Amino acid sequence: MQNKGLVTWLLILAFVLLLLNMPAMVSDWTKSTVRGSVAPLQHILGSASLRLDESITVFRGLGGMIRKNREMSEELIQLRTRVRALEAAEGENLQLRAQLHFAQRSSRHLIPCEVIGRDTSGWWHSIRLGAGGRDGIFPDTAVITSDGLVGRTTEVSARVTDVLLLSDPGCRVSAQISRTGAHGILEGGGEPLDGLVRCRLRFINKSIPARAGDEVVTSGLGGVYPQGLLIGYVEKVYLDKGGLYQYADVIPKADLGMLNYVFVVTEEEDILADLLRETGPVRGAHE
Amino acid sequence: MNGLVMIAVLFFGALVQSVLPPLRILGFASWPVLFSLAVYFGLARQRVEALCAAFLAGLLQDSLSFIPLGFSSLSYCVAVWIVFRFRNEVFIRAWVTHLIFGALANFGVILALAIMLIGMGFVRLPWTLLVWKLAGGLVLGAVTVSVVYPMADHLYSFLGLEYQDQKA
Repeated sequence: MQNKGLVTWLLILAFVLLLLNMPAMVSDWTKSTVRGSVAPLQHILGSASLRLDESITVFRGLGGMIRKNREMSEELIQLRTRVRALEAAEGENLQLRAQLHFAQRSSRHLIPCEVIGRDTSGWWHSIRLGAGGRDGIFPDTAVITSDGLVGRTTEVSARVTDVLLLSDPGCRVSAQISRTGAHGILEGGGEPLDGLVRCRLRFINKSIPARAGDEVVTSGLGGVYPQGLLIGYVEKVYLDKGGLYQYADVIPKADLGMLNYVFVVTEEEDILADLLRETGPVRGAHE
Repeated sequence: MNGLVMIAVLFFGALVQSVLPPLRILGFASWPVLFSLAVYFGLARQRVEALCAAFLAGLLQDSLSFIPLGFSSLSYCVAVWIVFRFRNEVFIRAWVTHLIFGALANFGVILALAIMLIGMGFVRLPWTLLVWKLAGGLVLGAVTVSVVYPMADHLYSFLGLEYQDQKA
């Protein structure tokens, strides 16, 4: 009996050790499979929970407005993103006209997604979306709401996608201050117990003063986040201890604690850019 | 049959845990539904079932979060092993037992995960929040195990799958 018990423990220990030392590919596949099998029911439960929330709101006298509000939010986000994309495209176009040397231009597409869950472990600030690879979502793409940037996709399986929120200390975004154009690296400050989410914009050039209220947007550097997505506003500016840089507290515009619907921003390569690459930049552009 | 019920119960536990948000007031400690089920199996079921439940609960927990695969399984297995080791010294159906075992075991699991996750650089957490999370883990562990144990126990009784030692 004693031996049987020992064998059981040793077997389980062996399994755990095997799990801990799995190659990344096998580990990812295992995770993806388990998440995929839980996803349909999670989707139902998440949707039910969302509908319950909405029903409660209806009883509070805001009925009828919810759908309209959602439709308008979707339209607003489409329009805002389009304006920002056009602004970026305008600047880019001017540059191209001057140089006639560019490799690629992109257009943005928004994939609407429902939030079906939050991080179950309590160690990360993340949400789970009810759409995945089969809907055209890839890892490391920006996620936004009508208010602004929310985070980026991390683990994507066929039906669900995990999103690391801006508030997570592990989430870093290359950002810039709209007014001055000064660049910096934005990182999550966790979610303090008072509930007010703050991020920190580090490494801002100290010779370009930032001030409270400045708008912070994505810079487009790094390849994950497209240029010009609104992140939030500067709350307070500090001088680095070493005196080399400024850093600032930034309050994200999007309410990261109340996310029901979000949009994944995907970029599709412009066919024209492909053609230009094939035929040669200068000649192709003139034609 | 026992195995199927165990898998179904853990699956359902994972679903419930995924819709229960971590509590800000308790340092963002999550509701340990899966772990509570593992504790139930450790207290009330056979050794093999208890260990398999701990292993699978950990696997589910890790798969549904960013925790690297195996971390939760290791923590849960050690915790369930300790629970199993001491279950003959206590009244396993008393709510005080669930309260104390739940609180201490969940505290231990959060501490073990913190050591692994912070030590290996997967998570950055100020120590004040960690202390708060550990305290939250104590409370949520006590509450969740106290709720989950009777429910799981009733389910197994209803299905006529009571463990022989329990009937005695």
